[in-house]
This record gives sequence, C-alpha cells and structure tokens, in this order.
Amino acid sequence: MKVATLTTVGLGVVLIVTVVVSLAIGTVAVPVRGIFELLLGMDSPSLSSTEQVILMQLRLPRIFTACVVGGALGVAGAGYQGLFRNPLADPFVIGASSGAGLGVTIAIILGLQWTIWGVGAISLAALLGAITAVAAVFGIATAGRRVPTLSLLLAGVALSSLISAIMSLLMFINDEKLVAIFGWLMGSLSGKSWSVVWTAGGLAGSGIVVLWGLSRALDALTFGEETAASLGLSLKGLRFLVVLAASTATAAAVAAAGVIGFVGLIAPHIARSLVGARHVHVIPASALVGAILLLVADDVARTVVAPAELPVGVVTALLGGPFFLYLLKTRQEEFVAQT
Amino acid sequence: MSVLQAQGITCGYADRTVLDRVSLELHPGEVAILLGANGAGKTTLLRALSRRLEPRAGQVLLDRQELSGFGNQQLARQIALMPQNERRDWPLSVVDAVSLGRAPHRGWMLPMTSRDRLTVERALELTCLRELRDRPITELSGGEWRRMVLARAIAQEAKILLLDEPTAGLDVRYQVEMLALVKRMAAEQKMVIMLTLHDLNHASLYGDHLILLHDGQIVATGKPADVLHAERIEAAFGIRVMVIPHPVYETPLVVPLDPMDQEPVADRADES
Repeated sequence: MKVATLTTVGLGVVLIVTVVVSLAIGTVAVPVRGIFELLLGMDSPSLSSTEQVILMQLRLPRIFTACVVGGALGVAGAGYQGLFRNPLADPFVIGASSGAGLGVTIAIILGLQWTIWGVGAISLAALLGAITAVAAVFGIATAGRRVPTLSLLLAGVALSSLISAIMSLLMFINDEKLVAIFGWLMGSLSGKSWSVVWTAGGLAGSGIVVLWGLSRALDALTFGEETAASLGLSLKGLRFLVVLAASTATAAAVAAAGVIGFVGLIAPHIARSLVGARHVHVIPASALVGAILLLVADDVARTVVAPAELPVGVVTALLGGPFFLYLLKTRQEEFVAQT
Repeated sequence: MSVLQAQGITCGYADRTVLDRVSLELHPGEVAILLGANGAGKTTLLRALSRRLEPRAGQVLLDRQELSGFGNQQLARQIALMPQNERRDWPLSVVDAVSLGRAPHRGWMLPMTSRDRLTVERALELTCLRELRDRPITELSGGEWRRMVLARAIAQEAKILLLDEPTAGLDVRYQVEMLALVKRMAAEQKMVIMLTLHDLNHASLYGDHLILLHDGQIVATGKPADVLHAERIEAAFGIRVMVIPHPVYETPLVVPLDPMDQEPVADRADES
C-alpha cells in the first residue's frame, strides 16, 4: 500500500516536471528559471513581457487543458475498463468519444451558445452523446450476464463507424461549418483559453471524484456480478454511476479538445503496472499518467514541425494504435478464452 | 440464531421450471449438503436462498422475515454466497480480495478499521493463506482460489454460508480439509452452512443434514443414514450403487457399480 502511494506521489512529481519542461519548449524557448519565478508569483526580471504573455495566455492554458483532458481520458478509461472488466475498453474504443463527437457536431451546427451554471451547450451535448453511445454499445454487447470482449469491440467499432458516417453526412450538408467541425474533430489543444480549463476541469474533476469514490465497488466487480451482488453491491446503481461519471469525464475532454484516441486505453494499463490493481490507486494514477501522456504528445505535436503544428489526436493515434494492437496480440489467448 | 427457510419456492429461467415447490429449513450449527444430479436444481436453489434469483412462487424467510425486505448490504451481512465459478479479471492481491468481504460492514467508501483488518487476518489464518497474502489472485491455483473465496466469506462474518461446490477442482487433501473446516465453523460459530457436493461419501461423512434433489423436487431429506439409500440414489442419479457401512465410522458408504453389469446385487447393506 505504501509503495503504491509513493509511486502516485512520484507520478505527481513527474507531471510537474513535464509541465515545467512543456512551458519552456516551443517556438520561443523560455528559460526555466523565469518559469519558476512566474509560477511562484514572484516578479520575474529575467522574462520579457512578451515571454510572460506567451506563458500566461498561451502555454499555461494549453498545458493545463492537456493535463485536464489527458487526466479525464485516463480516468474514464480506468472506469470503463473496471466496469466492463475488460482491458480493451476505453472511451474511444467503446464509442463514448464518437458519441460525444456527434453531440458536439450537432451543437455546432445548431449554433447552440447557451450555458447553464457555466457549463456550455457543447459540453452538455457531448455528455448526452457519450452516455447514449455507451448505453447502446453496452446493450448490444451484453450476452446473458457478461460482456464478452469480442462483442464489446465489434459493437464499439460498428457504432463508431455509424456515428462517423452520420457526422460526415452532417458536415456534408452543413458545409459552411465544415472547417470548424473538422478542425475540432482532429483533436487539438491549440488556442485554449482559461475558460476552457475551468469548464473542463470542473466537469472532469467531478467525474474523477465520483469514480474514485467507487473504487472499492469496482474492485468487487472483478469477481463477477454474482459475487459482487452477494457482497451487497447494487449493480444497477454502480453501472449507472460509473457510466455517468466516466462519460462526464469523456465529454469534458471531447468538448475541450475534440476526439483524442488511445490515452484512455494506455493510461490505465501503465497505471496498473505501476501501482497494482486496486482502483483506489489505479484511478488517481490513471489521471496522472493520462495527463503526462497527453502533455508529452502535445509537446511533440507542437514542436516537431514548428512553427506549424500536428493535430494532437494524430500523435496519440500514432503512439496508441500500435500499443492497442500489441495488447490484442500478446493477450490474444485470454481474449479468445473469454469469448 | 439465524434460521433460513424456503416455503414452497418455484424457480426457473425463461420457460423452464427448475425448482418445483421446494420447502426446507436450515438450522444454526449444522452443515446441510445438497445432493443431486447435474441439472437437478442445486445451484438454482442456492441462488434463490441468497436472493440472486427471485422465486416465481413461494418465499424465502430469514429469521421469519421475507428476504425481499432486506437491503443489499444488510443481506450481505447475513448471507455469504460462494458461486461455482468466479471471474478474476484484475490481479488484486489475496489480502485485498479477502478484504472486500468487509464491504457489507464498512460500506464501499469508508476506510477499513483495525477491527476489519483483524477479521481479515483471522480469515487468512483459518484458510492457511497467510503466506499467499500478497500473491495476485490471477496467479492462484484452483485450490488456493477456492480457499481465498472461503476466506472472503469468513471475513464477511455472515452467519449463513452458501457454498456451491466448494470442493470442485481441489485435490483430495484440500477437499477433506475444506469440509472439515466448514464443519468446524458451523459447530463452533453456530453458523448455518449449506453446500452442494458431488461426492456422496464426503456428504455422508461431513453432512449433518442431507437434501437430495431430483427433477426440481426434494426427494429425501434427513441424516445421511436416512437419505443415502440405494434405490433413491439410483433413481436420482441413474446409476447402480451399493450402500455399505463405512469400515471406520459406520456411516453409509456408497459404492457405484458398473452400469454394464446387470447382475442383481445379492445383499445390499441398507436392505438387511
């Protein structure tokens, strides 16, 4: 237990270092000493005013958005994997991301601008889309009382394709909104303002807290539903809460930065290999690993072809796709046995 | 003193009726063993008794109160179920897995208290799992895994323990040890314990009370000597057997005969 806690603290330190490094690098390199002065609220004589603007208005919001989005996707992945007891479940694979994407596409086309309690129409549309998609995939993939890997993947893939087709159709019909939707769909963290950080942070944070509170219940689910129920767990309640919380986190991420794949798949795996299988450790560790992964991916996206940028979704897919295939290959026997 | 009763319960899945008006009563301090061929309805009965399955007719009473009136956690503090098969998707350590037995008492959010940890340690000790406490449950052998499940049920501190084939997949030593432990727990802690078993001779040795199911109905119930009669076993399992006294304990010993051998059996112990 101590080891897992220490590892989590260690991940936190790695995240802070990654944040500082990410602040320093870019088209304009900023000295690290100045970054510390600025972050600690001191007068920073070593930074020019241009550098201060770059840090405060451009890089910090962007980096915080990356942390929030990566963390939200990591935790959502851990939540879905725990609920479906399936190591290949993640927001992207099981259709939550594309569902959220469809929600956002519709919101952009309708030009919805209103907000309730600071949560915008786009975020709510994303949430609605994500929950609907997950419920559909879960419903289709359930065979008896189990969710076999194969049906989960097939249902996820099929529904995602269907949703992509609908999105393409919507974009085709509304071609004046094409650029806005398409740019957003590719997954990008550029040009994020502080308000994005706060909205996404609030939504994702609440999802993360709820999932963390459900840790022990998710642990009990590893024995199967019959045993979990005989330990006093209300399965319906748990399913509802996990899907709601994980989809809220996914929706926050998608509304803030578009569809970014594979972070939600990889982060929980790395987290589990570092802190063990108990969700009380896996969930915070997945958040930290997800944040670090997406931050690094974004650093790559904005530096390799500088001054131009790659969409960060392309970078995570390039890194995550092979990882997904590797999982599928190395754990093939297990998956075949399950189905 | 907990008493578990079934009153004329009828259960089934889809259009198939598995249990037909079954009534029974389980008492503290006794090991009740459920016998019957595959498909006779043993697992269904355990599921109905633990509220995993809603009976179509009849009712299950715990301390004279209907099972449906209990809350999930309240029921889990009273009844622990050990299913025949369990999944293990994540490599939790043995001690973490056993600790989940405390959830009905501690809830799903609150941290464990020192009393919880003590209970878990005692459960590990009773099932000889102390050395394996840090091993991932995904790496346990079949026998170790069954002991882990039993330890979790012990940690649950339920007064009623329903075990579905607790000896399946164990070697003969662990089968006997498991049954002896269960019998000791029933006697010492006045627990109500019911298990399903395929080995009639183990049932004869360790059961205080045997229940023979055939085609969804109880065809015999009582002490081993009252239940284990050759004709009943032949009717329930469709095999030819001979029942003789156990050379050491005098309890009934069931010896299956070759189904190809059609010669009538000259002297059967329970007919004399």
